[in-house]
Amino acid sequence: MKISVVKIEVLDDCFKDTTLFDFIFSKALQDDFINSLSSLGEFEYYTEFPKPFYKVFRNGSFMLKGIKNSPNMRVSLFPENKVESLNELIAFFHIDNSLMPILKKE
Amino acid sequence: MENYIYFNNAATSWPKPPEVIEAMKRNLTECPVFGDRQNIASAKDVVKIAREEIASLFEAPDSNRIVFGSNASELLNAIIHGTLKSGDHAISTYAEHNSVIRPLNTASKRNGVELTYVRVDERGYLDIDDFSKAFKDNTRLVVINHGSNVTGALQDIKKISDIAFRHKVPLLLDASQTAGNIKISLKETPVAYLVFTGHKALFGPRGIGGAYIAEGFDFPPFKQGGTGILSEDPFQPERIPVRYETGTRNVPGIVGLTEGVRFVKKIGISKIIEKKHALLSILIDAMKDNKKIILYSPDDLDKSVGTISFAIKNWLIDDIGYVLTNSFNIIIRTGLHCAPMIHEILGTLPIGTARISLSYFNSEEEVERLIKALNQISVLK
Repeated sequence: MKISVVKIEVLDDCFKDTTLFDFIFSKALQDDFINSLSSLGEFEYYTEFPKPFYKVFRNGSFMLKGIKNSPNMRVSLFPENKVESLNELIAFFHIDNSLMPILKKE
Repeated sequence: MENYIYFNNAATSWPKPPEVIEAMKRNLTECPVFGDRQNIASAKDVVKIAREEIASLFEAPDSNRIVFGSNASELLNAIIHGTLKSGDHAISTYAEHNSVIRPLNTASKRNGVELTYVRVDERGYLDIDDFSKAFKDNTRLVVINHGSNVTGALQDIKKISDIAFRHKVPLLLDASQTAGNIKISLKETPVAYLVFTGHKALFGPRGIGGAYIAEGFDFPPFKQGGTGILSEDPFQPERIPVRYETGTRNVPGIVGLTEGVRFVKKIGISKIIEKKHALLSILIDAMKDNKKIILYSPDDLDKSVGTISFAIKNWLIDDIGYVLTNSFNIIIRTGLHCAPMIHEILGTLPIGTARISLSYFNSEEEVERLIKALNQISVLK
């Protein structure tokens, strides 16, 4: 089964200009999927940690991070290119239209 | 739920002593006649008992002058807005929490209250000379954060109190971080107002706080309404403490707080400090040995409430918290900690710091696990 985003949770952030979400995927994320994120930006993956931590950073656009074996991915959209970044993530993760209002509202 | 190691006690202490939970459970289970303004002949007034326990902890001269509210912020608001009027001047510091900064700024915006925020140094200590120079003819209130929730710096409250007293200006002491963590004696250091919260080092639940309002420093009440006494009076009764306790009180919270305070007394503040200092010494020494770690907190534990702010070179502050929590199951806090002004001085705006805050219940093994995690994280970048 293909992994898809099944839920989006909007989070409060300490910083007023950043928009913060959790993407919740249909199943826990594993190495193959996590490694595929490297095409999105600067990619770090710390497999040495008790629960491996990954992060993707694109300056002025967004930051994604999460833990292997978890379905949650933390998404920060930076204020400079919020709309473009969001559209790119929607396309990359094939986010379903039904979840769009949550994202667009933010 | 997974097992977590908890180092966010400056926000809310956890775990709570079992007697706190038991007392709250009992209070919620039994018929609500105790402390709920009822007619039962044998009623033990649990709210009165709470006032007495708290007054004795702070060596306050009159337990009736302990008033309860939903948290420290509520009482700070009540005192700030109740005492300051147009044309007044108030002194506070860069080390304050938003629970002080926002009501003060609001008083300034709404009523033209003049404000002076005295700077603190890069560890969070107030310069006493600068503080002395801030007084004006129209200064009507001094508001001081006893212990910084960012760096842990403890202010020299004796000196501050003496200076405020010399200028005949009431001192409002925000003891949110210090109540239960260090000895506070209103007999030795009298203040006009002492505000505390229940859910931190006093081991009570969230949603309960209080204040000591010294005799002669009453102010118009923030709220008006039912008090359970003097009901024929069309206005809020003048009598303390009901004057400041409008509506149904959080009796389960008050009962939990009472047991938390009793726990602190049973262990003894000096034993609590001794245990925390032993753990903090291990932690601070290890953090100092790690050249990737930047510490923003004082070295001298006798002048600290024990909270440690830090950063790790090449790591985003938010990532440190995320990794510790999600990869290592260790809870700390990151960000501005609701105290934005002190970060101007630390040079940590806009991202803030990572913060570790211990409780009596933390163990050496937990501290060692934190040190190991910090070393493992810091070595990778």
